[in-house]
Amino acid sequence: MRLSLPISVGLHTAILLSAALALPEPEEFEVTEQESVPVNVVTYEEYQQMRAQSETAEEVVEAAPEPVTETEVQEERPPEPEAEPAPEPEPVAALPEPVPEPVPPEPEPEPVPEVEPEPEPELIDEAAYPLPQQKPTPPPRVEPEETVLDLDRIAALLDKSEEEDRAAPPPETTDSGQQDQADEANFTGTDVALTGDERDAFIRQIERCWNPVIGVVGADSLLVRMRIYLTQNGAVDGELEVLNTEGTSQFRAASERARRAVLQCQPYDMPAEKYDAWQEIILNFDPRFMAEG
Amino acid sequence: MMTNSAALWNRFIKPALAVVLLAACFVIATDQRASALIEIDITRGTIEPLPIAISGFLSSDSRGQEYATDIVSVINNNLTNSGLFEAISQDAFIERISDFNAQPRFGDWRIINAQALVTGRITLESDGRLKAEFRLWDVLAQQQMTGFQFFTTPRNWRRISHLISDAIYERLTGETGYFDSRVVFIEETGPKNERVKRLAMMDQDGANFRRLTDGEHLVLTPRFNPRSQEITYMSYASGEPRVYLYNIETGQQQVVGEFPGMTFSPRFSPDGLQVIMSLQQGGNANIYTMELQTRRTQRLTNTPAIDTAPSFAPDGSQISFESDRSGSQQIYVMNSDGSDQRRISYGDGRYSTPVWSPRGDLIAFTKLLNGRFLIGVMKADGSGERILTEGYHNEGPTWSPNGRVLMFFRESRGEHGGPRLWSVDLTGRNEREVDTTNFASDPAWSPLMN
Repeated sequence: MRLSLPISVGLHTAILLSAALALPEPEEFEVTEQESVPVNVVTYEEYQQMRAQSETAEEVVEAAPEPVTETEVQEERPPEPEAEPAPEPEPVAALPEPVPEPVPPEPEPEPVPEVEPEPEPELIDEAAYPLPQQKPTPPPRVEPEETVLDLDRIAALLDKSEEEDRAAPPPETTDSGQQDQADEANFTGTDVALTGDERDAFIRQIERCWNPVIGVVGADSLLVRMRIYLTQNGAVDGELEVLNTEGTSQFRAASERARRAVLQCQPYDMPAEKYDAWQEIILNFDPRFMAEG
Repeated sequence: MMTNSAALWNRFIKPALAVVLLAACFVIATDQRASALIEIDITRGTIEPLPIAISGFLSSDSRGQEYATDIVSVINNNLTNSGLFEAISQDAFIERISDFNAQPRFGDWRIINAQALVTGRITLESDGRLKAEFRLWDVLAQQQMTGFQFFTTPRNWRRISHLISDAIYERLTGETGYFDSRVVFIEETGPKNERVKRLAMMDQDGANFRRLTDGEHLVLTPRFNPRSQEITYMSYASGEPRVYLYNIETGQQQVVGEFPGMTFSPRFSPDGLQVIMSLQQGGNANIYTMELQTRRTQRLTNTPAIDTAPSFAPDGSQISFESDRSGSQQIYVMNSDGSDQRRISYGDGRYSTPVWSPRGDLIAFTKLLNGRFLIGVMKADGSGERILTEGYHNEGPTWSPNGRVLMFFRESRGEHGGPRLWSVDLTGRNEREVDTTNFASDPAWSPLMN
């Protein structure tokens, strides 16, 4: 209800504008502005959220799905061929009195006698069998609207024949796109927005499955930002999209754990009549407050 | 032209625009809902061991099958002991993996709540070598996370098990593992008033136990060289306490330098080229470093107090140590040249034996408070102190090579009481006794062996 008044004002203004336009006379009438839209009735909570988003948005790099193959694993420390330490389980014979030696112990490479173990890791080839291919793109989405208005399209919308066709999702996968999207998130959701209780229920459902690694280096800054799409019955639709990246093994593990949480706890129990409000959600998995366990 | 276009504008385009604008109003009004994109913060999770299924490794012959069983058992044990994983009982498995190169039926593993799945195969090659292959699968994302194969002599199967465990641990936590490592410690036998103390060594999981000294002389405080399989420790072998070096591979042993007084509490520098230790002079003790190549020594502290238990930061730039210069034992930090000595512990009680984490972010310590011994960690500036465990007598923390786990010894009371080794996770969540046949104290964790 918060936004009804401003929207009403906006619409009336627009109607007046139309009327003005339709009248023959005043030439030079510009139809450019849409200032009526920026209605920002923002709660304190949302304001905080916006701020957080604008801080994180800078880090957002392009949202690429995780590659299926793990080529980098090959670089993991290759276990050196190293000698079995030829253990003698029985007590060592009486040690000679240690005599100070003039020659310092050379920090020489370890003696490698009968070197056998050579536990050389080799990456096991995944190409031997097909793995489920990750969808490179999120589910079909409507293209962002252009500024030129299309009468046919509007007519179609007016007769509600394309009700499920979601309009103008914010541009995505670019840095600025993220910001736009984040902003927009805070200006929307009136009557059809999830209530606090519905939000909390969803959060609780995911928290039950989110099992972050705590105590790792930098654990308190391993924020994972993820976009998810849900079907009408609350199941995950298409690929999960991790929106930020850090390129460390810790971040990779953290993002995979966030991913697993979302997958494991589906389907989500959401109010069906508000599907528009929750079919696309951005999740911020923020371990800051639980980092030290 | 102009009039024509003006007329066109007025008669057609403008009304059309008006209609369009009106329609746009409807679009905006209805789309208020559609474009609602919600953003939700998830800030609390459920911390619990990750359920992992380690399927039986395949092998085509019975000898290989024995190795396969043993290797799976060691991996199971490692991962479970870390406290970060919960190995699901094989009895619960629905799918029996029969083809190492086929994709598992993820649905079957999901039903039993496995989040990760390990499959493997052991092959005894015609040249006598053992080939161990494994794959780690993400059950929910339905994809392989990693996979390796190792070749080794069959008797090295334990190391292979540790290497596989480390690879799994690393992939699922993002940190390097610590399973392919060992621990030296003081094995204690005999009655309480007449203990025989030997230098002993075992794998981090307690296997491959062996003694390094015969117990004739008292040995104390062994410490690993972070760069090689070499130990420094204190021994009374020459009558007076001295710091010694011991090469595990060759068994060679030698004293570190000739000093006028007792030397004790030795530890290697991160590059393994120096030993830092205390030298007692009268009632005082000061901290010295000695370059092992040149035997050149450098005095770092000079106070009429007991400065001891020095420990380098992993980057070598700083040293933490213990001193009673303020009246009671506290932890101090100084630059590696001895400059800028400053106290960092200010809590209640007495602090001792600071040990810098190999990760560099924390310093572990022993703390005596109200007659109880606590093991804890603090940041290098002294902030963020956390106690991980406490009891009648806990002492001597040593870090796992990845800085995730602390091992220490805990003494039990009574005539038949004695020290045992324990480990605790950095978060304080996973405290376990390390199995040794006899009493054991003063553990020192090795670097990774590879």
